[in-house]
Amino acid sequence: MKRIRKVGLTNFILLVASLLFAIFLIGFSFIKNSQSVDDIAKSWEIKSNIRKISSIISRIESYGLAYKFTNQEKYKQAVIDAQVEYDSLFKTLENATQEDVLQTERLRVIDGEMKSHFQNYSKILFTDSTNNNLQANGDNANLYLTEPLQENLEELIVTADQLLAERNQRYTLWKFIILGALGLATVIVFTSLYNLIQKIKPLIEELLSTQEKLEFTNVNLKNTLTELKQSNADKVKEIKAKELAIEEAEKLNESLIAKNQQLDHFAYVASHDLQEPLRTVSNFLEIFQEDFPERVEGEAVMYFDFINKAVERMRKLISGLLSFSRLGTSGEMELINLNKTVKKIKQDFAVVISDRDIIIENDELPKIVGHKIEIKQLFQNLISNAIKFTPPHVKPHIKITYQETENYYNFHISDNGVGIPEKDFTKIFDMFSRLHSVKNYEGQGIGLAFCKKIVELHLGNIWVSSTFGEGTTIHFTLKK
Amino acid sequence: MKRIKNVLLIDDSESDNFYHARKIKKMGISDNIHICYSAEEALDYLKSELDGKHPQPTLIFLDINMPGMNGWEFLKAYEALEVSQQGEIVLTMLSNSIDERDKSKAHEFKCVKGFYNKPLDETYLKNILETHF
Repeated sequence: MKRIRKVGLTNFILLVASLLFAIFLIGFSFIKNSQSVDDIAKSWEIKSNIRKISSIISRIESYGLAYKFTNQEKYKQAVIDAQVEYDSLFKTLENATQEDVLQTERLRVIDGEMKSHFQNYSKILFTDSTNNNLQANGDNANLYLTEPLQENLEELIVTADQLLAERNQRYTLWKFIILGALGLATVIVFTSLYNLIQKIKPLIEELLSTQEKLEFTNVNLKNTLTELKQSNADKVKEIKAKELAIEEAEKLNESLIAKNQQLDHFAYVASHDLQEPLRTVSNFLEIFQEDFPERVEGEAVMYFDFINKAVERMRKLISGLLSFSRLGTSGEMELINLNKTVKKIKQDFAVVISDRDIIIENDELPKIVGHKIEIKQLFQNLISNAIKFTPPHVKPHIKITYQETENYYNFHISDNGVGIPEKDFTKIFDMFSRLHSVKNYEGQGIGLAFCKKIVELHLGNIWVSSTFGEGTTIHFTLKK
Repeated sequence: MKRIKNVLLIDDSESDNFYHARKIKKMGISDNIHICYSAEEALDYLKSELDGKHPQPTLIFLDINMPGMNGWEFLKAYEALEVSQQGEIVLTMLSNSIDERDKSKAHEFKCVKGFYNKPLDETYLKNILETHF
């Protein structure tokens, strides 16, 4: 663009300047030429006027002579007319030759002589007709005025001719100058054009190649656009598919939530309804023992004991199942100070703590948002497990440690208890799963299942690490 | 042991009614025990007249989980009764102590003075007598 402007500007200036010069030259020559034409015309006019004057002088001479010899009035009148004609012609001639000093001088000489001649002539012709004959001889010479005048006039004509020739020459010269200027202008124009073309040519070639490139790029762009459209369409399809998948997942999730609710409801109803026949069994066992004490003796006491224990265990299992199904339904999430929670649990366990010299250490714990009852149950279950699964001859030492990450609170509750074999690390969190016989360790196998459900309720995770025989650490996270 | 004029048991479970009535009688709380097997039957009983007088039980044990009209629905109808038809003390009973929502719901009814779990054993009954009479 810059280059184009540069080339264009210099050339344009050069071209315009040259053309202006040529036009000026042509114009100037033309003016000069036309001046020459005017001058030529003027010269011709002067020449013709001189000739006319010459003829008038001849006429005056001849009419004068005619009057002298015939005395006829018509010749006299003709002489007077010719004189008037001469005067007007002379004035014209005088005007025409104003510029030429030499010619003016000559005309003045002619005029002077003519005037004196005219005076003589008038005297001779018009004073006395009676004396005509007397004076005729003596004045005869004066009637022939043509000779000297004609000489002067001839000179005038020669000078005029010379001037004419000179002017003709000048006219021709200017004509040639015009032609030359025209030729020069043409040359300049063509040179400039050629120059311009030479300079523009690479630019045009460049432009053409650029255009070609552009067209190529355009085609490429079109292709890319088509590809983009295609990929866009693919993306849209993909997005639609993803949306569908999300929708499906949401549906599944919804149905899962509904199923979970149904399951919880089922557990609730089942456990609720199971309680009643169980209650009847235990109630009537009691009534039977009250009403027929004589029948409950010997081995029957043992049988009744087994039945009662089974019923009690059943009642606890059902109650646990019912509680499990109710987890997270106790109310809204609230701010919980875990230090207070742990303190409250220690108070609840005060008797066993002092009985077994239990040490419970804990870090400064955070305040979290959660289901208060469930969170307390979580800590309570884990602490009570730690105590329960420490052999009677060992003083339980429980440590509650805590770290915080960006999204989670991480807790670790470790003990010096019996430990868990690695193969059972996941099994322990299952409902009703037990690793020990009821005889050694009482329980329904629901404590850790509760913990798992509570942790999951708070969008966390729970797992275990343990060295069998040395101790166990339960790790769990709660989402912030 | 204090004696109570009359007791109304509202429960669809025959065995529970039998057990509870036996316990109340055995503890000498009252001999006048009326048993209704549904909420509707209980309402009819409360409205009934004998010698121009409504039964007006001193103590009402109400089971919540019943087919047909349940305990809560009974309580609504009961509160709408004339005062002369109502009893003195209403206690609700549930087969489970776990459900917190049921406990808080029970407190919404002014007439409900207490919340107990089945079965009503001696400890419970002693406690009830000490608290309310």
